[in-house]
Amino acid sequence: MSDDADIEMRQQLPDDVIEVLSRERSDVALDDITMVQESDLTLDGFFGSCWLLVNGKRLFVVEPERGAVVRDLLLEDLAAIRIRHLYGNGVVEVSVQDHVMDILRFSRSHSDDVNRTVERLSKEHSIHSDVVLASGEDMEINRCMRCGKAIPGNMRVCPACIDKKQTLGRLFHYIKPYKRLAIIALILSALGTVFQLMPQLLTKILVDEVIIEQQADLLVWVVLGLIVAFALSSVFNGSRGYLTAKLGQSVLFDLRTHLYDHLQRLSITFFDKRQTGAIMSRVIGDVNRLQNFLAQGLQDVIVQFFMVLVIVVMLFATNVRLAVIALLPIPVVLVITVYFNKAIRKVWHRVHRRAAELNAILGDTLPGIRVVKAFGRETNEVDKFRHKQREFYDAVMRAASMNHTFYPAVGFLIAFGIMAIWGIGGREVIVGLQNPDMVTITLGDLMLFTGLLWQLYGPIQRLSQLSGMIQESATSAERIFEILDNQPERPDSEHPVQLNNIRGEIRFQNVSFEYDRGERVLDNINLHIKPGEMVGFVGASGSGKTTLINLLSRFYPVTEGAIHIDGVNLDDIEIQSLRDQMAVVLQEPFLFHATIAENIAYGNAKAKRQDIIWAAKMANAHEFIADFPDGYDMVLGERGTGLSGGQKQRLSIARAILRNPPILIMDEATSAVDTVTESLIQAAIDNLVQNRTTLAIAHRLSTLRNADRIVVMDEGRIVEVGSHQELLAKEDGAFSRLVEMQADIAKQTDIAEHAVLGGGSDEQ
Amino acid sequence: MSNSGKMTMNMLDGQCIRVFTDEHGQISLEDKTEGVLYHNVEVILLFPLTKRRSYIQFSTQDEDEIGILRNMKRLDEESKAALTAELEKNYFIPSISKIHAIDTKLGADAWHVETKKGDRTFEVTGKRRNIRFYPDGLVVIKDIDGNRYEIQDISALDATSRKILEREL
Repeated sequence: MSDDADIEMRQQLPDDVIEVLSRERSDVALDDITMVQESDLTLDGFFGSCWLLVNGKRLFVVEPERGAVVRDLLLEDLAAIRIRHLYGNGVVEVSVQDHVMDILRFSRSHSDDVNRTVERLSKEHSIHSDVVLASGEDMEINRCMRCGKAIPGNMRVCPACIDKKQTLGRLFHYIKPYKRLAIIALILSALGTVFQLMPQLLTKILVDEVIIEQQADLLVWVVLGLIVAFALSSVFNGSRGYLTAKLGQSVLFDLRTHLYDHLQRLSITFFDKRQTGAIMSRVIGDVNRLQNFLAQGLQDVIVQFFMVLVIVVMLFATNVRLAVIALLPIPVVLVITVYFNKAIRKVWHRVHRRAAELNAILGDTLPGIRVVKAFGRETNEVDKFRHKQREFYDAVMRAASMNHTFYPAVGFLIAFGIMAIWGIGGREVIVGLQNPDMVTITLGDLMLFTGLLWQLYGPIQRLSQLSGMIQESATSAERIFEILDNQPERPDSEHPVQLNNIRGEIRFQNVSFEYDRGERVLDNINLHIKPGEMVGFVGASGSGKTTLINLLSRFYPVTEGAIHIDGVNLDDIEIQSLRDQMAVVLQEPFLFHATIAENIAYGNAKAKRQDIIWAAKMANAHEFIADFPDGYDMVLGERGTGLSGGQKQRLSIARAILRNPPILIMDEATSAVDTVTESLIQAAIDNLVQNRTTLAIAHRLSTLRNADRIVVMDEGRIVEVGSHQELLAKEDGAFSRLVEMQADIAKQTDIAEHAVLGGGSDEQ
Repeated sequence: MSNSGKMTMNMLDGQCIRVFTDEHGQISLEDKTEGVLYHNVEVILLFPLTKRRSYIQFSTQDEDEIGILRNMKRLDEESKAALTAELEKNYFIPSISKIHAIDTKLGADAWHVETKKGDRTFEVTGKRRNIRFYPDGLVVIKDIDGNRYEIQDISALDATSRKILEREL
């Protein structure tokens, strides 16, 4: 660390800490302090400040509120340092001469920085360190990395750190291609506003000129003018509405396409770290919110803004003094509207929460109605529902009462302005009528004034809601841009190698892999797979089997070592051609909302019908497909609903057979199916694996009877390799133990199944 | 593989065990009937929110269950003190006695409260997930850093605090 950084670090030390330290330890020079760590808990578990200070030789813990140095240890005495993240707080412990001692207690708000400090301490002074997590606790970070403020759940973007101007500016980038459209729409809204207010002006002429001055011949013109004004304002407003809708939708069209396109290209890592639901909510929810802003909000803002502007100008042009009086209540209205919006938003949030709770009850109990009935809980469920319903009702009524108090009150306030105009203006009109020399305001002016004032009220209301809307859209836009800013999948190397008709030889050479820094998931894997060989991978979950397969698919880059296919380094292969050489049969077969034929032919657009049927036959799927009235044309629901688990797996196998790749990856293709189905699937797999290199992950060891070799993995390492027979022959080998265990479990489940169900079939 | 802990329920008798801090400063358990000594044990509450001093599970560092103590009644005083101190450390759930204010800013609620462990300000997002109601008026609040706070009995709060809280919920 540089001296500057040291000085800066020492500067964050509060005065009382410095004072206590210099009083209690006069031999310690402040300038020698190289590390400081603040905590928000004292050692005896109260909120309060506590500081860990380290100089080159010693470690101090200072509790300024107690005015004491509570720990003073020689660094060389520390055998080990350990952070224990406990429930709601954490403790840093050190071992000194075989004795464990707390040196710092901290709330989880300091988990991160304490981790960093201890890591640094252990590195710089070579003290063995250790971090222990309480079970089930996550170390999820919910604070903005930049400003440290809380990030609201499901947002992932710090609303405080969004540069609203920049974000909205970026949004305008999408409007650019439609610049002409935007300008025309803008002009139309200005014109529309002017013509919308025209009738007010004409009313003035009608009153002042036609009625009072009795210029009857003008009446025709006024009426004609009115007709024209109405007609034009309708035309302008109508076409403005259409054009802005078109503008908004065009921008959204581009944005949505861009977003979806980008999502397809993002690496698996991106999806690993996020829930699919959260991503979907962005593609749908946030884009919708932007749609509201672009298609509705933006034009609203522009129109209302013009409206207010034109009205205010007209008011002042007519009579400055009256205009000032009439506008007096407006600032008050603005202020209370802003406050009201804040308050009502809270209430509406509550209404939404209550509605969500109601839905949650329905979503819980209706699908589980059997359980409810079986346990005789119907009455309780109804009571629970009624209770939630009551809370929802109360929340809605609260919103209703607020709304119906506020709007009439604001109307009353506005009316004050108008009353004042009637009072003051009315008197002046009468004076003017009696004494033509003293005309300050005509009857027409007065009517124009009151008319305009009533029209001002709406736009002011709308504009006061603006800041909330802009805030919301800026956040949505930022969330969308956050996705767009993610780098797409690892690009190919500069001169990627095309793979064509490979033999299917795979070599893992000293392969290690870490998802997150320091967490080794695979450790020095060496494995040579011959073309056409079937290799099974077994091991407890978390032993690294799936990771190995993911590396081969190039979903992640290896951390160390290399993988070669037919002698070519995986990193040099063009990714598309790599995946063309592979087919994957997954534990949870992923089927799409499409026909069975389309699902089998997925990734194989040129497949002929005959090939599809052949593949289905080879996969033992033809028979049940043919039994469906719609046959191969049967449309599956999302994720293949409508099929049993075994049927889905066989479709997935058919898909792989049709693809006919040199390399096949199977991830536990036979789990959770009954024995009959399992044998059907097993036969399908036997067909599938012929003449291709197969890597199969299995929990059921019987699946691997036909494997040429079996690799047993444990904690990221290969512990045994050999044929089924060879491995079984090893007494007390890892594989033998696994087989034994499974036999035990199978026996127990069999007994249980026969006792309860008498066996069951997965077939429909 | 030992299945003894997983398949059976080993309830510990408070009279037959001793909980103490050993010479290394680590919490330890002696099973007096079996005459076994376990050093550096894990002390886990099975109901950390609704039962703070009951259903206490002891495990070894390798997560092998030693047994479950239903409550501390039959423990000797020293054991009680040692166990209480360990639980106080392992489970930090300050109890809120007064709510000064809750302000919402940019989607996060900042709670300014007084707890039995001192004054504190913390931020909460996602009310539905992070404010939980339990029987007998117990409310548990989880802040954005994963710290927990409790209101032991919502109906025992002072009127102002309750009003502030109710406005939020």
